[in-house]
Amino acid sequence: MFSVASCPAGGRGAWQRLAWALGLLACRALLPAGAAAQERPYLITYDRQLEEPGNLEIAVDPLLARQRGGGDFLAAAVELEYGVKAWWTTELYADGQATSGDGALATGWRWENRVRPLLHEHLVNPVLYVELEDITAADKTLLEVVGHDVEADHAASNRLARRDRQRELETKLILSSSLGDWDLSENLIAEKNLAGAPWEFGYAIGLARPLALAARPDACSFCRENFTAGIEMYGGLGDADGFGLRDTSHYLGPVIAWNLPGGTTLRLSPAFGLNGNSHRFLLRLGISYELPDLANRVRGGLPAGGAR
Amino acid sequence: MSGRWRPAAASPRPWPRRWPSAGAALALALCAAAALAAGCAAAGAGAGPGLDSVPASAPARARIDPDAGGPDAVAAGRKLFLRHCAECHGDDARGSRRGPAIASERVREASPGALFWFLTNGRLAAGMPGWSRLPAARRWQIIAYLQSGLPAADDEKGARDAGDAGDAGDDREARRSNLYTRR
Repeated sequence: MFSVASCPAGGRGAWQRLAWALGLLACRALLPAGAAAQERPYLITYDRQLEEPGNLEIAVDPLLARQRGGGDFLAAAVELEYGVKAWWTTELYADGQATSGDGALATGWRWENRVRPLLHEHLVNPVLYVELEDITAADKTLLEVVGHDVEADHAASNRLARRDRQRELETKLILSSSLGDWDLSENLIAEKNLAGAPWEFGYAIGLARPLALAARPDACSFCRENFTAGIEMYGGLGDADGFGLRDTSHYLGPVIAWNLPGGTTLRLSPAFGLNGNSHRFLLRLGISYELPDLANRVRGGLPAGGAR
Repeated sequence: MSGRWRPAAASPRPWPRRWPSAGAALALALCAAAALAAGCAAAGAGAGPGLDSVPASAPARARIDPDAGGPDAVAAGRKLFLRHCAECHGDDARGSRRGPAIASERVREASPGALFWFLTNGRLAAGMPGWSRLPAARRWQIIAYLQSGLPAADDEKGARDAGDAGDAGDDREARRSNLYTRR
């Protein structure tokens, strides 16, 4: 599917750096020193869970995609997610991509904030999401699919696409519910190019459940309680000038997450395009590691009770 | 959107490339409004002292631990506590600078239903996250562990031992004040 040899020298360097980063994170998974949060399994859909206050999560979310009419590509976002308060999480992304036969490049950054306006659990739990993006049209991370985003958008050469700078405001209404031990989350997306394009709309829906509900008394890594599996679907809903499903793309695929006791979470989601405008196949991966109590670590202190 | 490329010839109109001041102002206003909304909600919800914030009418108070007496509930609860809670409350549940002691008589004697409600909802305004992300069975296991007879930090020796383990006076103060669980 991908050939590193087909990439120009700059692309090969980027692939090597990405491989190093993934390798380091994978090795880090073996060291039991992080905070063991229970991470959401979804790679696109957000649920109501925020980062624990004071914790920093470092994540890499690579995406491998087949591309008709262009080179297959690997895109990735490096994420730094910090829990400012128990009800407020902020996150910084740096995006990049490597396209087979077309080199590699950084494609911009994003800054997102999520807040919970209701502090107790309800039948439906809303979270408000606001993100500022400064990316180029060469960005292929597909972290959201909105408006009339289609596969053909990604067929343009990097040389041309990188010239088109896009500064956008993205808002989401995240609705999340517990149905027994299932999580059901829906995201309604509205995105605006600040240079004047019409509002674009999209959606993401996820449904997931842990493979085992109760924990075993003994320590284990490869046991059912550490896995969460589900399904997610996402796509565009047109824009303010043409709301609906016409000329939109949609994806559906299973998701599985493996929460390791050391604070690392691995996620995997093969997604399949549901119509002719969609990529036929996307393979999403996610590796994240959570550092507890960042503020005190920076100040040189450690929790008296012992950080885990 | 990600990666949508608009060829100049096909664009209905050219998009300017600099930040429009109105757009930036709108973005900042939305961020501020979201933070303010959450802040107001936090201020309103932060008045209750820990377990006292559990609503008396909450059906959770009447819920019965489905795993009560289960042979592995306490051991599994300890594992879950060390994995998810000890980061803030300490390995021995006697608190740290990040969170108060929860090895206390108050917790031992509390209604399991009230503890379940509190663990599920958290107390976001005070920094305690809700743990609805854990399946109910695992929340019950944590409660079984907390009520299994941990040495209380609020007895004199426990407080002194816990104080010796720390290195700051405000840590001891935080433990003694038992923010989430004080009477």
